[in-house]
Amino acid sequence: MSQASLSVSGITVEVDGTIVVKKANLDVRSGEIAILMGPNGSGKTSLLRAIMGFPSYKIIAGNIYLDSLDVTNLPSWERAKAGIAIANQAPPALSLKTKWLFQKIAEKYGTQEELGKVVNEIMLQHLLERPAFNGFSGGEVKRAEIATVMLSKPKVALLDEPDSGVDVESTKKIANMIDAMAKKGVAILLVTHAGMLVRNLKMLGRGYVMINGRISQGSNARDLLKSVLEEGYRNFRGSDIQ
Amino acid sequence: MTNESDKLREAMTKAREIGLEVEKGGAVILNENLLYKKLARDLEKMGVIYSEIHEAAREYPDLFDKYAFKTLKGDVNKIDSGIFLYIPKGLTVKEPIFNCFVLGNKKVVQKVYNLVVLEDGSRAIGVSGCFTLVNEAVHSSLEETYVGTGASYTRIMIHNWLPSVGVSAISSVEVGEKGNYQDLYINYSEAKSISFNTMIYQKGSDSTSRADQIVSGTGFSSLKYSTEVFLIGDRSSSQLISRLLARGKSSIATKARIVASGKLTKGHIECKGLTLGDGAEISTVPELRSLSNDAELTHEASIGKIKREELEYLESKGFNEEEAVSLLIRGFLETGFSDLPSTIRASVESVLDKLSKAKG
Repeated sequence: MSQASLSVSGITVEVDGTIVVKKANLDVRSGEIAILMGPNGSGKTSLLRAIMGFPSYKIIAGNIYLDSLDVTNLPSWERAKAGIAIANQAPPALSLKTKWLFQKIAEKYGTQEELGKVVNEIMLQHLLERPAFNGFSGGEVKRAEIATVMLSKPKVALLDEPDSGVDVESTKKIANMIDAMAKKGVAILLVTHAGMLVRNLKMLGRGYVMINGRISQGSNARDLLKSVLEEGYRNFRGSDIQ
Repeated sequence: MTNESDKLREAMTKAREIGLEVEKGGAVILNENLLYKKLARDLEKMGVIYSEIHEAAREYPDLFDKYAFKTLKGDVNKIDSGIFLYIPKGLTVKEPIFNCFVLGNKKVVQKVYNLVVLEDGSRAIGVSGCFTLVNEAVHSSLEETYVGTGASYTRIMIHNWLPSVGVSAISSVEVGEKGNYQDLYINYSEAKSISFNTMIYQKGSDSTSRADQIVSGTGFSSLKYSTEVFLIGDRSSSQLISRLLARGKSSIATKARIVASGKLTKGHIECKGLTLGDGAEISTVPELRSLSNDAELTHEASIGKIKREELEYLESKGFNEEEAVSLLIRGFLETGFSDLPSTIRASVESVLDKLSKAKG
């Protein structure tokens, strides 16, 4: 077992009887921003949701470690309390007001004093009175999800395409927030398709590629991004895929 | 043996638990009798009348004859007790007036008649709490409210009965020109049965009303509500909003009806139900009736259960299932009632918090 903050060791994930992630290995150290790229439908979101512990994503082999704690069999809320947080790509519309969602998360993790600052940074004041994710734009959804992660004070943050549908200025802000989390020692696993967010990050570490549910490790995130942007994923369909 | 003063003390304590600060201005009717009443002296000097209903009939016969039992049938001599609240012309009473109706003995049948009069241009807030100290009792109430020209009345009512209590309530409201009536009703009791009928007659042009019902059924409760609004005055408008939460084997049935006869009237009914028990039942019947060719009447209604994906989302944020369910219920119960005075907002929110966590 690795000493990384997040260590995914040979996990296979099944959803409704279909294998969506196959024997995946992946490590993210404290303070590292690791990126996970791959074509649509390759299993990136499934991997993140399996790490978070969503019940529909059944881990049928392998283990997930948070530091030295094996969280594989913990329910999602216990994984969250242990220090794993996720910014979902498409959270469901809730009947709960956005400000209540933020307040309750802040109360749970003792971050009430940071609530105002987070809301200001993420520019969400206008949404606080509305039910969470109801009628939000794509960018607003992503910013709100980043806010929930920041308020959770996690050890590991799983960010599922936090830049898709986000404008240029907001992408830069999100990059700064991700860097700030990494500086505080949060291990970040970032799923992304676009270069703009990655180019704005300072704390980049390893890069992983996922094809058909299998993972390959690139040299580092910047080289991986360069390769993917120039040549697509054809270089990763060969023997380096586990 | 528990005497009356002990029971009054118990009632006051229970009132405080649901946010009714009777000592700041209000009354307690325990069983058949009014046992406590307090009104700020300056309000009395300004002409506010706050008295027991029989006393009002004796002391203020002109007012009583003018307003009492005009829209509801009844006889004050067949009533145990009740409250008469009179706000004179142009006066604004900022602090809420708290009325508690308490059943303190088994087998008691409490028959109440309340009369609320807001003269032209006046404003007031009435908060009623109805609850029991014992089981096996009956509360029966009639209430008439008159909101004069340009006047505004906000009524908040909280029902917190025990099981084996039966409740029958009829409320009639008349709203004058440019008058405004706001009503927030919350039931979070296990009462065996509640039957509550409300009629709002908006006779004045440009009058407005809003009635929000937040009803929680638990155990084997059978709860029936009917709210009818008559938009008689031109350009009058009304909104009827309800949130129905049925747990256990409870049954909730609501009827909401808007009848528009005035010109350019607007009415909207919104009803949302959530069932949390396999044996729980909700039925809702919205009815819109237009007698005017330019009325705008709309309704929306839905009944469902908590969605798995919402629950899983909140669990992924660190809330266990029980906490996640409570949070989603709390969100569901929010009706957006904006006229809630700040003085009692915290109390109402506390009641809704308790309601979202309750089981049954």
